[in-house]
Amino acid sequence: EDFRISDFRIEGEQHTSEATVRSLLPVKVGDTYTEQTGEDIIRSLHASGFYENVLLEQNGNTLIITVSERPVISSVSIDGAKVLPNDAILKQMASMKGGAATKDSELIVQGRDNHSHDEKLADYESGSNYNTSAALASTGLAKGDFFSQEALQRALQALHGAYQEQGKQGVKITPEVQPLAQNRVAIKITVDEGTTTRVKEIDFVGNEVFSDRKLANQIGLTDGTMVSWLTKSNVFSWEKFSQDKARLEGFYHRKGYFDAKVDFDGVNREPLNEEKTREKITITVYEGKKYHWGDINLVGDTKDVPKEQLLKHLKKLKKGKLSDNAALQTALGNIRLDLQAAGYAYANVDAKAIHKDDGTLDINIELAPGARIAVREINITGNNKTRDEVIRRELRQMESATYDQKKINRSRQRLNQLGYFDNVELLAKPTANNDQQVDLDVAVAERSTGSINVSAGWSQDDGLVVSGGVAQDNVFGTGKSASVSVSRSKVNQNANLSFIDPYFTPDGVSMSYSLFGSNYNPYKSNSSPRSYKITRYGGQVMMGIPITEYDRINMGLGAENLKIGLYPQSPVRYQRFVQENGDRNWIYKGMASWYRNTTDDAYWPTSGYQTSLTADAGLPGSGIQYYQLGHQNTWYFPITTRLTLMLNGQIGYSGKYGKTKELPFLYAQSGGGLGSVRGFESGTLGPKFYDTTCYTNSSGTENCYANSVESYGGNFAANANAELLFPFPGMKDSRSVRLSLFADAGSVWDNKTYNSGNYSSTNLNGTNGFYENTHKSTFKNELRYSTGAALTWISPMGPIKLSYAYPLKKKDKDQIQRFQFQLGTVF
Amino acid sequence: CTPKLVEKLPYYKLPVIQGVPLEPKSVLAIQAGMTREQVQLYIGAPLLRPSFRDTQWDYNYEVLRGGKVKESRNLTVYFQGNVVSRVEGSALDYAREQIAQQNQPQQEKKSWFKFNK
Amino acid sequence: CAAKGTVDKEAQKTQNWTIDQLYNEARNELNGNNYTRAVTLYELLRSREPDGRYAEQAGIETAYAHYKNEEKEKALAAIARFQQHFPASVDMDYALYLKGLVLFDEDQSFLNRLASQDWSDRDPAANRQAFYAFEELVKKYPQSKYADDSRKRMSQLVDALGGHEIAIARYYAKRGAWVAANNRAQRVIEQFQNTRYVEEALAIMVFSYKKMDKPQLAEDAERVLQKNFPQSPYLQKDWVPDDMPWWRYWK
Repeated sequence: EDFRISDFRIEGEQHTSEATVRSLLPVKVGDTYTEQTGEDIIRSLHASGFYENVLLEQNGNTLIITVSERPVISSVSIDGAKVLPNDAILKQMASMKGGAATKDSELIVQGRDNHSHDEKLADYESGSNYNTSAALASTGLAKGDFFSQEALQRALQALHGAYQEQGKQGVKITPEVQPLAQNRVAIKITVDEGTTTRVKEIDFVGNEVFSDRKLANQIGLTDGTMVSWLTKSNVFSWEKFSQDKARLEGFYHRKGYFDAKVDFDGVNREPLNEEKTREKITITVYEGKKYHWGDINLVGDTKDVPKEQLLKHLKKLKKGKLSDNAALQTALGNIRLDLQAAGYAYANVDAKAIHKDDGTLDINIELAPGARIAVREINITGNNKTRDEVIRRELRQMESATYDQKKINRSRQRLNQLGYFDNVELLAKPTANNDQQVDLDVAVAERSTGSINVSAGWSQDDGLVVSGGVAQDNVFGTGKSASVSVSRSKVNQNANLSFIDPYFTPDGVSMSYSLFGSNYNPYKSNSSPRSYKITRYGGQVMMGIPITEYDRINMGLGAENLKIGLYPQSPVRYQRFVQENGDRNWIYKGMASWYRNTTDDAYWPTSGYQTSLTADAGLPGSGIQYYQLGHQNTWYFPITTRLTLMLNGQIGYSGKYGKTKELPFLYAQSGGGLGSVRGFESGTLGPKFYDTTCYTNSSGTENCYANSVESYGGNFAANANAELLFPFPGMKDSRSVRLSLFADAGSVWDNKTYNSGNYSSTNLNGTNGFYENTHKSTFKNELRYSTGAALTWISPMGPIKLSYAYPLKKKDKDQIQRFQFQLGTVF
Repeated sequence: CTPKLVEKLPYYKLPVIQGVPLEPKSVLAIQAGMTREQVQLYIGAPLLRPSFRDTQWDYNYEVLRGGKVKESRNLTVYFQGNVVSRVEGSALDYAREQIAQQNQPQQEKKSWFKFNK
Repeated sequence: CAAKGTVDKEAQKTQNWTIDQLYNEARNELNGNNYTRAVTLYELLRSREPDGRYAEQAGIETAYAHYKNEEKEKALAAIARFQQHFPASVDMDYALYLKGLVLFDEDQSFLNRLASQDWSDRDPAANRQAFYAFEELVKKYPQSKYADDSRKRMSQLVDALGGHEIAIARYYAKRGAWVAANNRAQRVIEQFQNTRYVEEALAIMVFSYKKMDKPQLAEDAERVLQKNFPQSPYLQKDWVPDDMPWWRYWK
């Protein structure tokens, strides 16, 4: 019966203070107590998760609330777990409290905090039934939390699921809750994993057309191969099975079995022994009949998207050809993309198949474009350092404009190509008040793009090497990049300064300015002194102009002062160079290049291609009139989600014109090293000579002698590389380290024939016996190839490439360098 | 060379689209006397809703490239209270042309006389 | 594995310490800026004595330690746990204030201060959450000693959020997306009336209406500009998308 509450009395609380209980009560002194308020009190006290149960009694006008508290967990320990490390499980459980807690704080902000504690757990956990780690995390068993039996059951069930996923069918998990003083408990979970259940037998049911063996070859699951101890291919897990299911269905679809299907509950696993260490997997397959395409037509209103454009996608599904469900799905996808690109964001396109008994299949593709959608707002989140405009200017989709799926996909690609972000997500969400408008959420995860390095070292021939540099791709988040570097050693001193502003104009014309100075003096090196000196300094300005959405042309002008210093016994090449061109030259450089890039990421491309055509020349009026042409093409093929094949091809030609009689070796094509043929020292491909020094002795005859072997490049260069890229084993989803196996081949040649005679001013093609007989420097003769493994690491100091290569085709006197290293942002 | 100068070069400029192209049929369906909800049913809510004057809804569809307008259609619906008083804008003629073109595309491939505006 | 080892070592070492001994040790670890050890000690204390004054103090100080250690998520989690376990705690206003500070995430790193990177450019969601936290504090505990600093920070956040909107309006105006620029500017007027951006927002609205050749609407906006900012420079000369001169490289 109802009464006016004049006072509360709270009993039975121990950990939580009386004030806490009062603050949780939904009623105050003076309210009237009814059946309903009683329920509210119990529900709100229970929702806090502190109390096992709550008892309400009435004594006159005082409401007596006796609570019995849940014990507080003082320690949680797990032992016996090997496959899943103990502390990973503990961290998961503790993080749940943190996880749910942040969820709770969010719930509180959204004002939905009156859910009961376990209701919150339930809806947090229901969203993650298959993701075992999240399920594990949703248990709420951490030090200092209130212990509840349901939470413990949920933890055990989640742990059991995790083990099943690892193939441990026979796992036994025994919890032990030990009460301690002051209503506290210690939880101890012992896990007896038992041995992994291995698949010993795989059997297919329902397959008349293809044999069991043929189907077994299609899937990843095996009954134990030589390598399965490493790949665990004979351990069954539902996650891996979903990929096998797709492979099986694809196999049938490509063979014309349009309706072929394999579904999850068609799989049954029966243990072959009681300890469940061996099991048999039976997969039921529904094959259906073989079909050829009948006539395929588009049904429904295509609004203002031209029908021919949509029919173009169906060209491949010709009448009479063998039906292929996968090809049909890609066609549907393309049609839907075209509709979405015209603003029909929620268009849906589905195919109704009419099975004819003459073995043909008519398909009616029904279009339902729905309303045309506009993007009201674009919200960018996650950019703690990068300025909003730097991201917004890459987006092709505008605010208050028609929704365009192709533009959104292109925007994601452009953001990835910036190289500032680890990952980029674009998600359209309907706005609250109007279903024909969406808001586009762009969530980015920033990556450190700068590399500051200062290094000092001592190398045998360079003496003390000190170098420092700062390169920052996203200077103060403005999207502009700047790099400054200085390095000094006995033999080599250089300084470099460059700025790039990618958005000089709003539409993306980029301007870059750079100044450099370098002095190379091998004469001073103590190990292999060579008597000449090259000093260069200059600067250049380059403008990048977009000519289409994917193509850019760069044009630039530069000036460089080149000075060659000679010593008494300078190599003849250098002496002849100075005789011909003088020792100091101003070179006015013109540069032009065309560049197209459709790859999906700056550092980790997995699909798309990059092509470039480059030309640079010493313009008329410069001391040396030369030109260099180059073409490079790199393709990336995603073989599986983690495996990428890269193919790269490169050709180059250098020539001379005007008053320069002979192509100066400084501007010839060169090869070898990273980016060309790994395993050979950089710049050492091409025809080789004994580096001769000649001087006329007292009796006036010319006397030449050779000391070291040198290569001076050639007019032509070509190389090809194939590289298989995969993530570092064990670090599946990390995007900072990548391993690869590669094969390189390349050649630098100049079509001249060299004889082994002594080199002299009359016998320019002599090589002092380097070649036994005459040697024509052709592509085949100069071809070198190698294979090996490489590691790329995006370190905080910038991308670092390490490679170990074994030269397969090499000739004596080739300078081999099996281990090579390059700091990505080489200035 | 300042950005303004470089801007003049004829290079690829992203087509900036604003607003949504409206269906010809639904544009012509807007008549005086309709309520705001009916208008919204036909051509959706306007993207531009001037806060100082709510007696008119503006739908303009524009494609600009490098600041120069390539294509532009607008439609303004004036309201008296909650009822449409009049409708005007270049989108109406554009819609009539589209409808006319759809009805007899075969016979007159090239119509030598101009539709009267 | 190592992790488990250290916890036990700490547990054995502090086996027979009294609770306040444990608390004092954790306290001067905290003052001595080695925050990870302070956190382990606080956790030990809470598992030994889950309630009472010390446990409450330990709860909030763990959050403070994570905050100083720049572990944003852990700090937020610790605050949420404190709010849940000690709903009636006397330090609740400090908990809310700390939560605001964590979300405020003043990145005073040297580089950013060098470029006077105003964080109106930053991710607005973080600023908005910080605003809610401070707002909750000011609403629930108006006389708390943290209230006026919260009010100061709230106005800073409103200014940043307003700045964010106007920056986007300027971008779209520069880009030629007049409707988008207009809507963003209108948002500044509707939601950020008391910030310093209203004048420029009105000017952008006049500019975009003129570009969309909507003379009446342009006049409306001009009239409002005239009324609120009589000597506004935008009355004589229209707003123009000023482009940063190319040599001012760092902006």
